[in-house]
Amino acid sequence: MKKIINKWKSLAFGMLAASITLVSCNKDLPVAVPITTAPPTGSSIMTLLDAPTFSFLKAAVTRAGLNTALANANNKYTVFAPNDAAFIASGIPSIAVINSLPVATLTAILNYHIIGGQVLNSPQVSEKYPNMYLQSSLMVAPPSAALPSGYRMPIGVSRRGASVWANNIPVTAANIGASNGVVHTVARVVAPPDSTLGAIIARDPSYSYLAAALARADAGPPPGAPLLTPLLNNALANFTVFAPTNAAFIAVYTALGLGAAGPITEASVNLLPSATVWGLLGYHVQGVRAFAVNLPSGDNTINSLLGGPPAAPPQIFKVALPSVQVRGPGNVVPTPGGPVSYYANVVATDKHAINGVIHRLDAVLLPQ
Amino acid sequence: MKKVLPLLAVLVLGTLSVMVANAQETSTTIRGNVTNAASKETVSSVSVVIKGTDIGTYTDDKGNFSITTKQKLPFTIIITSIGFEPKEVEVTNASMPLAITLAASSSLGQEVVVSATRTPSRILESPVSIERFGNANIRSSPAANYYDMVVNMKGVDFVSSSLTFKTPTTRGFAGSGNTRFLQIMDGMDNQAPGLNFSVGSVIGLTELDVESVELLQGASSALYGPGGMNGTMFIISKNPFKYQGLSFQIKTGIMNIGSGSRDVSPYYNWAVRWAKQVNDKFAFKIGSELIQAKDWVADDYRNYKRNGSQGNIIPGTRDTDPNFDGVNVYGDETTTNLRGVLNSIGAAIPPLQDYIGTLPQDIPVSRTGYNEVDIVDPNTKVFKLSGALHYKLKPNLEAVLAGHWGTGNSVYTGAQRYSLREFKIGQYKIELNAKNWFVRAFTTQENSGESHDLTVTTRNFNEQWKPSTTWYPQYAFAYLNAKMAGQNDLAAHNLARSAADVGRPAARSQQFNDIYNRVRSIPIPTGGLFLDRSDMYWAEGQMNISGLAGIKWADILVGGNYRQFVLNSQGTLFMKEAEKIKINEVGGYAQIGKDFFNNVLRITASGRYDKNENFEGRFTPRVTALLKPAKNHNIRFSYQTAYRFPSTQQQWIDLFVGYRLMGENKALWDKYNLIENAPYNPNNTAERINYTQTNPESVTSFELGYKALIGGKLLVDAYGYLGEYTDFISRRDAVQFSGGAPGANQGTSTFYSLVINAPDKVKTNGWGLSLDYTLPRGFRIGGNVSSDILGDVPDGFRTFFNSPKYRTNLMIANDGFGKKKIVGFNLTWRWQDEVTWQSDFVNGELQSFSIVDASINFKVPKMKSLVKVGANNLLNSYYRSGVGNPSIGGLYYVSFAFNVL
Repeated sequence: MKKIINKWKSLAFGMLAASITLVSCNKDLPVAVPITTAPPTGSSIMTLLDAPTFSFLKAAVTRAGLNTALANANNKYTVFAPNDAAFIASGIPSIAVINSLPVATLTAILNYHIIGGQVLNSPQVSEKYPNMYLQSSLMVAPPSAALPSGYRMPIGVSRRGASVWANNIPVTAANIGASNGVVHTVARVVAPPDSTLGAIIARDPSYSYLAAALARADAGPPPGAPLLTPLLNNALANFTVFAPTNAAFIAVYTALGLGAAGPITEASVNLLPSATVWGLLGYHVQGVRAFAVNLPSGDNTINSLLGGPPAAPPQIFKVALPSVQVRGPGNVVPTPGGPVSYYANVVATDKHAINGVIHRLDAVLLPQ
Repeated sequence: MKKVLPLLAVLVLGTLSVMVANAQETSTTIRGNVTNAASKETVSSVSVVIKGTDIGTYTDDKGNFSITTKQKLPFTIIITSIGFEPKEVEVTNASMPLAITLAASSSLGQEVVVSATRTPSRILESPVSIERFGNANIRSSPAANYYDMVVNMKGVDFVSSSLTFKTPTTRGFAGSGNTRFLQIMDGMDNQAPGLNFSVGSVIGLTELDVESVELLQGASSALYGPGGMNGTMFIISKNPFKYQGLSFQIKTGIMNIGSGSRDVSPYYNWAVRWAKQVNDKFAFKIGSELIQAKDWVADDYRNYKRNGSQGNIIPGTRDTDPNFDGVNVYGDETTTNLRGVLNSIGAAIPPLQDYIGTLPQDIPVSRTGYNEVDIVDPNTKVFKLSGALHYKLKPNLEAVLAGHWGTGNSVYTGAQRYSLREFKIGQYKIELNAKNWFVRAFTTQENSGESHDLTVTTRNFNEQWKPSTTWYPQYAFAYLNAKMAGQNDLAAHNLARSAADVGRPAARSQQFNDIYNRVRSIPIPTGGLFLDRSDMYWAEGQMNISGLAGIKWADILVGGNYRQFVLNSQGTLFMKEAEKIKINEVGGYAQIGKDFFNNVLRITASGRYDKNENFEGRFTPRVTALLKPAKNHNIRFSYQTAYRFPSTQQQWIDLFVGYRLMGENKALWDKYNLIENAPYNPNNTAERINYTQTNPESVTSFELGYKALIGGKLLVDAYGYLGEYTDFISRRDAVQFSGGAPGANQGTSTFYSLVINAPDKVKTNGWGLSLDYTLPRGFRIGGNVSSDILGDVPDGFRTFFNSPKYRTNLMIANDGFGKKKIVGFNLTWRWQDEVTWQSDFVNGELQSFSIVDASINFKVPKMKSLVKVGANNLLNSYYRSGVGNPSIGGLYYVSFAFNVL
């Protein structure tokens, strides 16, 4: 027994000594572990622009001082990149011309090609009518307490099948991956708009009848209906305007017999009730921004600002690019064999405004 | 409290008048003095009894005694004291003072314990597992506070949620709010009636007033009623008849060395006790203790992923996870999916809709929180005040009137971390003790003072500073702007946070304190204050009826008790509609013990019946057998059952903490329409959770043990047990749909944490072994190892077992060496294995750790004083006793204790 005890005694002493040595090996208390993400690999967008086909763009980006941001591996961008051919096709024949542009103008144009915080590959681009509408880096109004989101000029991004567009400019090579985003080559420089729809209509003499009609409509809109001119001047709005030419209005006024009161002029519209004029013009405005490439092909129905149940929507039939045809239920000519419908032709597509796009029509759409 | 004070006054006056009326009649008086034969020092608290009678006394702090008796000379007196050989002296002459010397002996295995069978027995012959330490051990222990010494007993888990808030338990299920482990102080259950934790470390006894601490491991309901499922701790105070004189202790130390969160800070622990035997019949004592320090810091800043009331620790920091929710960071529990905020921005500003649409569907973002160290009062303190009047109506019938009152600042870990601030609790007792019976009545009065829930307070602080309805839109706009500026996602989140947090009060700034102090003073739910004023009333009695009934063949003990809880939280904790609710419980027990085969075998059987007004009655039997195959070798076997009613919180809590923490009472189910519109399992909405009555939880355990004293020097104790829990009380998450059913029309979702009985049985088993060996020249070595294992746990079932598979203690000590035997030391090492920690507050892995405690003490025999230099966690190796609880480092102190030898 004593032996056992002695043995245990030495064991205990040994353990005690060992344990005191061991205790210094107490593990450190666990601490918070930061979440680490693998550093981005591959070339930055700026490095991609070293390609000889992007010499114009690289010169432009560098002149605008955007090169640092586009080289930063921690940032994220989607860039629509016009290659040299695109610059030339857009009327900028040389780097020298780029260097002659005011830096502010150049910066604005380039920023319009950049979507911040997004890595948008073509599969993520929606095919939904009419297009995605994403804020570019072109800052029009910075964030403030009154405007917490700021205002960045949006750019339309759309896809139909394998084809992708920035606004109405086709992407010629999509999804060029970079460490800090993605680059899509575009066929032209995507010019940012600089006027509102209202301003374009007001200053273009070929829309003087439309401008007069807008004034008439706003003189007495139907109860509850908004004034059209302020809408068309609202920079934050988003419209597609089918804008009939002066000739189109004259044709309608003539058909309505307004010529009986004297020669048809812009002022002839004042012979019509203002609410009727409002209804007629509202029928020409869509609450979305659709470039011609976005318009649905085949037999389709889209809603106008006035339209939607219970009011009848306009019917828009896109035939083939570049010619687009549109008609309303009232666009019929009586013939001995019964009424025959006719189309208004889009004679000029995609006049881009800050708050929408204008398609010029050779006839007025008639809702009934 | 208001009700109790006048009652106390009447009792005190009554006792005093009885005292005066019982003036002494003169007869023989013997006097004497007891000294230690070896050291020649006087010995106090020695029992001196006239042989064949109940007449006796104790020596005072100078070793003197006197007995006045009508007994005729000559007679024999018996002198006994722990640690000395008993002695008998014949007295023939009363005129000469007696000079008695006692020879020291080993006390190994000789201590007397009461709690094992409710009758005194040698610890060696206890029929169930029991551990004990006495005031001599407390004197020499390195522990800064006697309460901490429990941790070195085998099979004990010890959770420190603050320097001054510690909770021991045995047989698993450790946590601060342990409801399966009873603590009984001088016969009083010291659980806080509203908060369901034992307040032993807050009120309890002062260190100088502790005679002994006994720890019963395993189920003990059969004798002590509901609650003691896993064990019961008994803290027994010093009787003023036995321990007299003025003693005090001054302990000063330093702590928080190298903590990283707090500067080095002082530790103070001062205690005083004065006891006096006025005459043969009357004695009193008063005592006080003050502990003051800067608390340990709970500084676990790891990221916690919440899933209803559950969760787990995941990688992430405030800078790398927008939804960061730190364990000891509060206010960041407020979280929302930014998607909803972004969608409303998109609805208001249509041009942003497409951009917002490309962002992920789930963007969880939490509010910015504050670290616990920045919000909780760093000063922890405990102030205890206690007093007792003892009056001997007859030599064997003692009346006791006692009061314990304590207040403190501490931190407690429950479903959240709670700052107990100016928390007050009082226990007041009246008791009659006879040789064969006792009756006792006491009350516990709780007042939570300025205590508040840190999570709720900080969340509401954030709402007060900047409501989430403002903060989140600011965040969302800033996030969008940063993204649009080309920032990557995480950078955008961090910019957004700094934008939304502009003007956020810096922790501990004037602005912070102004708002925080206001919010913590407003009751839950708008603030963080809880207003607990719950009380408990208890009456009990016990009698050994063998003598009374003339039964000689067995010992028969009967007893009973009644208790009432009165819950009162003014709607801050318990169901508002049920405030001032009373819960009544009544119980009775009997125990019969008989010796067989010339005392070789003793069998005791006990049974107890309890009824709680809200639950079915419960009968719990216990059978123990003690076999003594040889002298000092004892084999024990026991079959025990125990149970508990759901705690007061498990019955009536009604607290919103991001989800609703709810008690099991049907009234609460009705209140939230959970019976008509039953909730669903959030993880599987095919499962509907219907109301079922909760049953009391019960445990059945078998235990086999062996205790032996070998060669008078080696004490061996070993045990093994098997336990099975039925109707295990747990919690589960549930979700209620305002639309009645999940799906398209589910409407709003409301989340609950419900109390349920687990359908499965939970099994535990474990074992323990300890060896204590007395070496020459006063050296002692000892060690123990124990294990508790939980078996057969169904997947995903949370048991809150929280017990390491293995833990061990090793100790070497000397109570006096050197020429004059005045120098002693004590060195202990403790290690415990890693634990998968589960609690309502946090789940995670708790690391294994080991701790060295050491002390050296010097006796000053002339002053009966002791100077001690001690270290808790000598190597200052920081550890946590539970996940979410503070990091504990070294505490180094010097103490001077007067009149304690």
